[in-house]
Amino acid sequence: MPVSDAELVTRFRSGDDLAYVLLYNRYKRQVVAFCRGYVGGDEAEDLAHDVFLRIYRRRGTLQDGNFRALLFKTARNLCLNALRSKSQHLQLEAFPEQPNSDPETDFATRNLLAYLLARLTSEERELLLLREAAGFSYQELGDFLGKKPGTVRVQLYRIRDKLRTALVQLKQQEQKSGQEL
Amino acid sequence: MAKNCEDIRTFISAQLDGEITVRERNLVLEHLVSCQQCREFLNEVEEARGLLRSLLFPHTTESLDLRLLESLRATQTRQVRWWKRGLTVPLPVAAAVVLALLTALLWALAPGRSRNFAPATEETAVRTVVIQPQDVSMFTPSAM
Repeated sequence: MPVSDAELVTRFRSGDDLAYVLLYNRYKRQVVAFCRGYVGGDEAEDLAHDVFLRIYRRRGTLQDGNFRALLFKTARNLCLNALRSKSQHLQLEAFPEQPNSDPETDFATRNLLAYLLARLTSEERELLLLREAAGFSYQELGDFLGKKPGTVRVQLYRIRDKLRTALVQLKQQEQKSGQEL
Repeated sequence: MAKNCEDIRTFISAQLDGEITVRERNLVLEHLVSCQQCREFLNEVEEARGLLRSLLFPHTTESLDLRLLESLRATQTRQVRWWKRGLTVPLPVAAAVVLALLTALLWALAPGRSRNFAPATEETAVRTVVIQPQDVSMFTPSAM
């Protein structure tokens, strides 16, 4: 039976670095996935790195409560900060007149995630990422976001329907452009 | 889309999350037998979910592992340095404080100084207040 988060947090707080490594290994992929969905692919790893480093530095003040909630709250805060500075950065810098690479290839490989998630509001995106990347249950989602589990359930259905529609449209566009060629 | 289809699709979505009751699962199965559109919905929503997950989750975290390890080492080194500095910097300060305390103690306990700390009695009060004529004469020009 795996050791619980609470036990690992207690051990980590009392100076056991191995407990920290176990927590890191347990959640690293989820945190990267969450950050990737929140801010995009390029910065996701940087942010995940900062999340875990911040947790390490807070060793002495970590509470016994829900570690996963703390982890993803930290991730969300860092992602929001990154998005704020990114939007400021974009305001300062002019958009390039010519794209650097073939837009079609770019779209297919790098921007598919952005294309899908752009169909959602920021609130919907956060809910989806907490479910799909962080693996929160409906009850945990409700606690984290201050909603009822029943509301979470309906919202997730609507979000998935949006994604499904976006993907169907994308396929239809690809088929259409294939026929034209 | 019928109202029933919307309910069933909510159940299908919840089924993907493992958050469905046995009764709801049975309703889904019964409905899917007769509804082609909801079967398509199930396939498409599963495909969208699979695609999303494949785009979100990293194939490897090796570079993150290495970077974090490096940062943790740097953090630990900084902590050790701080600790070392904590030992060397306060030492002269602590020594100075101890020296000052010892001096004050010796001065307080020195013979002839201890009475200064005693409460003023009538005798001592008179001794300190009354100035004798010979004391005054020491400061007169004739005496200099």
